[in-house]
Amino acid sequence: MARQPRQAETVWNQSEKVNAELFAFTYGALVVKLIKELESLTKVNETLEQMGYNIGVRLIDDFLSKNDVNCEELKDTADAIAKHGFKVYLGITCDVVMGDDQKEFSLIMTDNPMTEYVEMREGYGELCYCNIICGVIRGALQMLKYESKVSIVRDTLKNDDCTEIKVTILSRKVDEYEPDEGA
Amino acid sequence: MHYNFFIVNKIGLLIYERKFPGCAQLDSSDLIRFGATLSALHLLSAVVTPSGLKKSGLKMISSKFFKLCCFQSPTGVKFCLVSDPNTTDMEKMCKKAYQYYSDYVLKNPFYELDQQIRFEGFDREIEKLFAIKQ
Repeated sequence: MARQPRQAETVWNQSEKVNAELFAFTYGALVVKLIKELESLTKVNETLEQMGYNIGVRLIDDFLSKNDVNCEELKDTADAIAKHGFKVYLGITCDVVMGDDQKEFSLIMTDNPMTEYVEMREGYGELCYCNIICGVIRGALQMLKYESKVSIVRDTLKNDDCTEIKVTILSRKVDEYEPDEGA
Repeated sequence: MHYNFFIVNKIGLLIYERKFPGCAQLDSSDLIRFGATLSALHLLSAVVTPSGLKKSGLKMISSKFFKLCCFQSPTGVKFCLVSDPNTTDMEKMCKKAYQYYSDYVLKNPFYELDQQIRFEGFDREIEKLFAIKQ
């Protein structure tokens, strides 16, 4: 196991970086623009999630082609997201808390470059600022044939002590040859 | 020496094909058939795998005249390389091609998932990748 985090570190060190502030500002501008253009915060959340989904379905191949991770069991998949995925793309790692029934897990983030300069205004309680991350995770899991529901349940922007992203696996479809009845 | 390189998407459609000198002449319907056959073979070889072994599906077909290597990404995209029997490191090259696919194809915002790949940047990298060993 000790080998794995080091590997994510290597990929992170080798990859090209963008300025963290540019990234945070661009994302902030995007969120604000959406809030101005769409009528409700629920719609903003949905749009951010959908954008993330579209990113996730493409990003997963980039991730898998450059990181040697095992995504066969849910536990490994959760670790791959928390220790490798977040490290490679955001430079942070999360803690994983597995659910009891092997159908859900939570990712606990204490530090997030996206929200560094963000202070939520009153009346924006419904907004999930980082909902794009939920979308990315759902899209990526979708490509690995996990049907999932991802949501932010605790948020540092809403005065919680950490940000918790909860991933619930609804089903998993695996391609298999099914012989005809009686064959 | 390499003969052909193919990419087949997760539903069994051929989305990329590259011929190298000396390859068999295949017309477009042959190519469609090839993609479908490869997917079926892959699935069936997983079914006939003896119990206790990892059901990884089709990985390599070796004969006196050619070698066919098939690498499937965890997302279900198959990268298939046909070369002469003395070629080594074929899987490594397929994995490299997977990296180029994720960089030059998937990161292009104008590429629609599961559609034909027609990008110069990708063509160039594939040519370079397979030219080294020729």
